[in-house]
Amino acid sequence: MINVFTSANLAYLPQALVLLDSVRRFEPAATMVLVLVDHVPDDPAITELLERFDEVITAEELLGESSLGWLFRYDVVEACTSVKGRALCVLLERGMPVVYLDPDTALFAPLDPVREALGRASVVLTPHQMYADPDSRYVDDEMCSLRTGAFNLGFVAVAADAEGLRFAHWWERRLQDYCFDDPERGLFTDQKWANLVPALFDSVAVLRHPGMNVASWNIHERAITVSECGEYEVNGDPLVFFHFTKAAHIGQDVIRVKWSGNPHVPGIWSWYRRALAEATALVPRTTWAYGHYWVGGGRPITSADRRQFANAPEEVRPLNPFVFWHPALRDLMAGA
Amino acid sequence: MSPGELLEHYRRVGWRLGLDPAPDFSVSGYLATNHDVMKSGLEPLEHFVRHGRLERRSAVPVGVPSGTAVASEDTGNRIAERDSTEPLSISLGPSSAVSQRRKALGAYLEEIGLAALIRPGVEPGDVDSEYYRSRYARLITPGQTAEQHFGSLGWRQGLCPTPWFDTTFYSVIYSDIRDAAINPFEHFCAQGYRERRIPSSRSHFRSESSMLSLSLADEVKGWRQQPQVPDPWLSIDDIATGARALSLDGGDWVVAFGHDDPTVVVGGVQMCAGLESTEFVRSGSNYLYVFPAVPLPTLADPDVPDMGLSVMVNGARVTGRFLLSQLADLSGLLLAGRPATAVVVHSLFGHHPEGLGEQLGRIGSHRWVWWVHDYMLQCASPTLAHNGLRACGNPPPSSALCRTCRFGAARTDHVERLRRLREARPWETFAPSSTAANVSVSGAERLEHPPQVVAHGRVVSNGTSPRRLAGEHLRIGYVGRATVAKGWGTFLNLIRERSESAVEFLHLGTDPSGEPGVEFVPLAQTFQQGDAAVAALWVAEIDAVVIWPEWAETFSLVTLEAIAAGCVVVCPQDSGNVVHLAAHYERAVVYDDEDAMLADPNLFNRIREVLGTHLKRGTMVFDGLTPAVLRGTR
Repeated sequence: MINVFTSANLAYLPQALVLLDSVRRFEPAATMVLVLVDHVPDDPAITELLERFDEVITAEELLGESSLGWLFRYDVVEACTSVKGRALCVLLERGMPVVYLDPDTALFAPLDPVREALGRASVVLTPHQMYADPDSRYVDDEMCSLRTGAFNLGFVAVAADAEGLRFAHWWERRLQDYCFDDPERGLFTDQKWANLVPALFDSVAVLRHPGMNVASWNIHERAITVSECGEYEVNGDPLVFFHFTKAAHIGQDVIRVKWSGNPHVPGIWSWYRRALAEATALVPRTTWAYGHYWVGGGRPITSADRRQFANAPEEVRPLNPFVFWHPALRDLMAGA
Repeated sequence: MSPGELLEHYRRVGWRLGLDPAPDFSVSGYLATNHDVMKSGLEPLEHFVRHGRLERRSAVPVGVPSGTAVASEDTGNRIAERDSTEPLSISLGPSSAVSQRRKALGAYLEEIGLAALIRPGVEPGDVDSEYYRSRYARLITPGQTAEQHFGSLGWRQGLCPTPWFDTTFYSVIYSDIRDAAINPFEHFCAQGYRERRIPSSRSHFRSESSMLSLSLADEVKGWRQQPQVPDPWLSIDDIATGARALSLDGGDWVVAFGHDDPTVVVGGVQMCAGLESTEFVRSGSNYLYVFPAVPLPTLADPDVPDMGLSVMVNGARVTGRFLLSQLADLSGLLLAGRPATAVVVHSLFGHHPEGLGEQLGRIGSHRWVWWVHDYMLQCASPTLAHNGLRACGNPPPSSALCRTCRFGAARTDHVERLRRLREARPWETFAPSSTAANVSVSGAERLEHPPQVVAHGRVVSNGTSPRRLAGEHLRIGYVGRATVAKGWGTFLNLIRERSESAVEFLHLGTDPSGEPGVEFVPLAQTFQQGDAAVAALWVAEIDAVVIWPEWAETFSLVTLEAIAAGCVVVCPQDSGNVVHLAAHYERAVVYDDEDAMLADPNLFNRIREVLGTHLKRGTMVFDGLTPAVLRGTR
């Protein structure tokens, strides 16, 4: 038995629903948890969709008293990423291994290679690329991994043992304070931190399975074929999960450039786009609860506001910056 | 257009296209400045008149970047106070803006490989009058310009205003355009190109990915809403009167079913229907061919039990449509209560198997004939191809391949509905090739018994003297619609990778592709002129035809035509009856796959070798259609 969780705001609920369907199909015994980095609107359509998950934990429930200050400092991608460490800690306490999957992934087979890896390691990571080719035409992808991290954190699996918990607590603290996309400081949300994991922890498995985390950044090294019974295989192993990064935008363009040698890629990709379109049609449009101030007509929170708050001394940070960090109120208070 | 029409056009369509109603009111400027209006979907001028000016919002004059200029309140008042019948100047903006838009449109068409289809003297964005008249002359009333016809009626009928814009394709692919009921060409030229939409399936690479993103349900919706001028609904007595006028007195009746109108649509199944209709009439029998009034790429919705049908009688269309529930009544009127000589199924796409089964029970027949022209008994994808593009090998419906296929979700129900229809009658099942028969009984979804193989036709020598001695120079052709599934991509790759001075490439079809390096040869074919392609291949002096389908063809009329025209056939090993026919007539140059063909330095020499010293023309004989199986001669 495993716990699978993902983290998203309501705008990414369609992706999470597609992932949920695939988890139900291939891991029917798994508990599927959504960490929702958003407010739950009073809308029966959204309530019904959220009830499809075994459990929904909102970020504010997960983070408790510190939640608003935590979330205010981050933009939407950073915020949804930053809660992963805390959620991992909470779920590991339940005594079962935990698998995190990005909402824009989908399973195509059971997570057997992950189970096998968790049998011998406490933390399981998947690399962006896994074949060393001195003459690769895709050295740009390798350089991208140097900038953003060797491992893709759209997936991580952690055993509910002492080393797994030690990793979870370290990761939680780093993500609380340093989950920024800030290349100048060497940070890329949670992902750059993972570079340190094999050095800091014992019992780390780098799962070099070609069917895991197939995506635009490694499709050139993954030949997709179809078995006699119609199942996808990657370099001869089962396709376990595909990562549909930025399905609507650049991801598709990157895939298109690289799919010439992979005649099955357009089929997989287009299936995802259709499934996503169907799920999107179910989800009413909402505005991200943490994207704007809660007073003064919903003024958007700029990245400068967020950084200013993050860098401010602890004692001047209000408990609810979504109200009290509003520039008009700050001016007022400064005047007072 | 009258001022009233201009205003109506602006209110209904124009503003959505970004057209400005007056020099002092920019639609895009107002929307860019007022996000709430943009989100609301309200027509911006009306919003401004009713609310905006009272809220002291500003109109933005045309040509002024939004956010940098504020028009005077007078402007708003002037617009607001204008009488609704007063002329509004509808324009694309200043002439420099028109010129810039045309330039941008032209650049986009260049990028997606369609610019070559813009004929000299025609601006991108304009209706190509000469092209339009050449295609639709009979529809245009005297005194009417091509532009007037297209703008008023043509776009609703799905007519194409230029060789590079396919009105039907655009409507099918983009549901927002369809739902808004706006002129697709106007939308594309004003807005669609900026959104990088695809104007025609001839931009093949992009259209492939566009089609892939379209769910089968949305495609069906598109087919249902295609612009068309439908047949009127008529009483069954009127349909019977029309049918009787075309029928032979005292003749028996064969009742056949197909998926569309063979007098309009050209293809293998339609050709079979037309040819056997002629043969039945020749032998004194009547031939009633029934097809859905609105063709569909799937079976009809099971929850809508009645549907419209149309008929062809003895090779001619009867105008009008009627309900499926009246089919047995029509049969009763025509057959005077006697059972049919035979009921023949060619294709049931667009039909309602449950309703049809009930009607067939009332009609009755001496023989029940079912042709396996495709693999619709095994999958909703009639070519057994993943997404309709690549052979899938007939995997189980629960497999990943089926789950990711556009047809996968519909497959189980589709197969089951046809199975129930077949189980209710003693169908005799025939296939036009051993490929069709073998595929029918292999894979996850299969028929219990193999169909009996009856080849529709063959080629016999007609003693025509050789056209010319084949020398070093080669002319290589592609016949039919330029679609990926039929091998157009392979043909283009061949041109790109293997061009040399001694080889020319030609495309014979109804619409030019616009690809550089391909000479286009117009080819219009109907079942009344069944040998038009053979003649065209012969006249164009084609030495070899590339036939590279993505599926195992069940028959392939084009292969028979190529062989009758004396051509060599270049094809893949897994092309079903294409490779079978080509090998049988010793005209085959076969490769395992496209890479092997493109990499073979001896490709052209192999063609020359098979071609021999001269072209040998033959005649196609179709002696394997339903009349032959009823006589038991095949």
